[in-house]
Amino acid sequence: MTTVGEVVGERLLDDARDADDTYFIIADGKLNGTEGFIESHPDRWLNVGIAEQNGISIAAGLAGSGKQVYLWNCSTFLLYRAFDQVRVDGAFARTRLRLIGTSAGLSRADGITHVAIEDLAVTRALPNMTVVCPGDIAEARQLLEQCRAVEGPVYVRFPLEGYELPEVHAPGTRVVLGRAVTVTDGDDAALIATGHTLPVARAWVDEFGAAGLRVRLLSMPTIKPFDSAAVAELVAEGLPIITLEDHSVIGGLGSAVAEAIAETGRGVPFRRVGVPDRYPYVVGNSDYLARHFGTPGVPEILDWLDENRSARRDRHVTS
Amino acid sequence: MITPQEMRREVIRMTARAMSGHTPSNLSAIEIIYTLYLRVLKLDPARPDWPDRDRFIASKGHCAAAIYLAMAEAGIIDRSLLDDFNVEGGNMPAIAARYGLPGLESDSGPLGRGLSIGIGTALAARHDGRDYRTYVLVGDGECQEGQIWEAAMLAPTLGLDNLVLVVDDNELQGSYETRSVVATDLGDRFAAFGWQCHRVDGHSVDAIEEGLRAPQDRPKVVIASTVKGKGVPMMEHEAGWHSRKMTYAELAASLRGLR
Repeated sequence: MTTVGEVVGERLLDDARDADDTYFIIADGKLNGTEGFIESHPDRWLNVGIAEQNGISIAAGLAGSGKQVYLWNCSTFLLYRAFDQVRVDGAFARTRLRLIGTSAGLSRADGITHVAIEDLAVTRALPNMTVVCPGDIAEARQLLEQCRAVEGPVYVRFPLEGYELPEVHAPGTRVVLGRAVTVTDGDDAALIATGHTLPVARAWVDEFGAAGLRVRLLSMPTIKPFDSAAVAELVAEGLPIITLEDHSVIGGLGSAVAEAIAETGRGVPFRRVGVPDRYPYVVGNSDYLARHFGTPGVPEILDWLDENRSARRDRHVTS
Repeated sequence: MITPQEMRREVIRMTARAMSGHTPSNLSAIEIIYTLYLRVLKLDPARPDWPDRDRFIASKGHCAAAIYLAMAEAGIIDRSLLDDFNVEGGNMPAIAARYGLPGLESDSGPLGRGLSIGIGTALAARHDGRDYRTYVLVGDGECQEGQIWEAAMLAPTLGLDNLVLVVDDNELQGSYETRSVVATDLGDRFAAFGWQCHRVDGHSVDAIEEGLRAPQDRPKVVIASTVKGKGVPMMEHEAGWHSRKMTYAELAASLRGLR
């Protein structure tokens, strides 16, 4: 199994092999898996200390000199502490910053203010920003590789740095930046997942199957640019759509899908599953917090699908 | 070649014509920007993106009129572009930002970021084996930003002897006297952080040049003592003029005083 840190470490070494313009900046902390790059390229690694704003702007200065700079930190510190710098020196200036954020969503529940449940919302709103949310090892490897060609900043979102990236896609699956990936076929409903909810969604599909429903699973590993066309196809087929994300239901995958549905001019039953518009003022791991928030699971979604089916049948009968 | 006093007159015309504020922020920095662009910076007018050019990071981008004018005088941009200063549809905003403009190294606006960007370009010079230098211009009020001190702490540790910070120490910020907000001495603070510190008369081109060229074995700060609104008596030392736009009568009076 490959961890988040290891897949980032692989990318750094691969980039460094191809060109001598790759830098890696941290603001304290240690990303296990990146030691190989740090040891072989000590002059292209920099710890700026606990000074996140300084880190982003230094990276922008390097990027302005033709470099590609990876920065890693908890998403909360990487983005929120330095949001103005990310916005001006990253997005506005269109620099080649590769912002690797970990502890995203509710994955790091030991420090309650560490929860990053608004990161997709704020990065998605920035012009020139690319937002990537890999859900398995194939997505992580292929999208990190494709980031190299992006002329502008990229935010890459991961759960804990030691998280072992699962294999959800069949071997040989091609993942393209900005495009959804269909994981399972089905025409009873569509489930769209992003990031580390992808393996959860994959398990849901089996549970739906056991209940007699064939659910099409789409992985949406790029949040920006967003694959609205893939959503429009689901709408054209009239499939009820459920989104699943470890992020606030405001501003992330659910919002992006809602916008895409709305812009088709047609409607389908739609349900966002994610973190409600609340902070968890309680200690607990992500499973505990899901219960704390009353986050819907398969049984609740099955009920919802039933309700929608009967409502639609009733509408059909009365009309 | 243009003189600082002629630059001052031209800058006043630019900001008045463009109905933009920050005229006093430009006037305090005239000699600094003049000295940088017309005496010190190693530039190639034919190649604004020459890899070995010195880098100038205008963290205090509020003096954009003076910067664009100096860039035109140095031949980095076409003089005709100055007519676009803060003009709708142009790419010469009143707070310096690139918008595709050649020869400008950073986008300013939110304060406190330039010194960090300068660390980045200075590191790039070292790693690429190039001998260009990085000059960063900040205001004294801007030094209330925490990021300045994040950068000030790190630069000596990195041993950046190719990094020069210039403080336009005009003693006023947006609405207050800088020393009334934070009273401790700037030079002492930088020195305590390990910087080589030079204090110069910020309205003497020769003194500024001497400070900029003084040999350094670590990051260097040149604290240029200036007067905000220098040369226009009604603006000098007046915080209320920071964002104020000039009337035509005020423009005429300002230009008369600068003859």
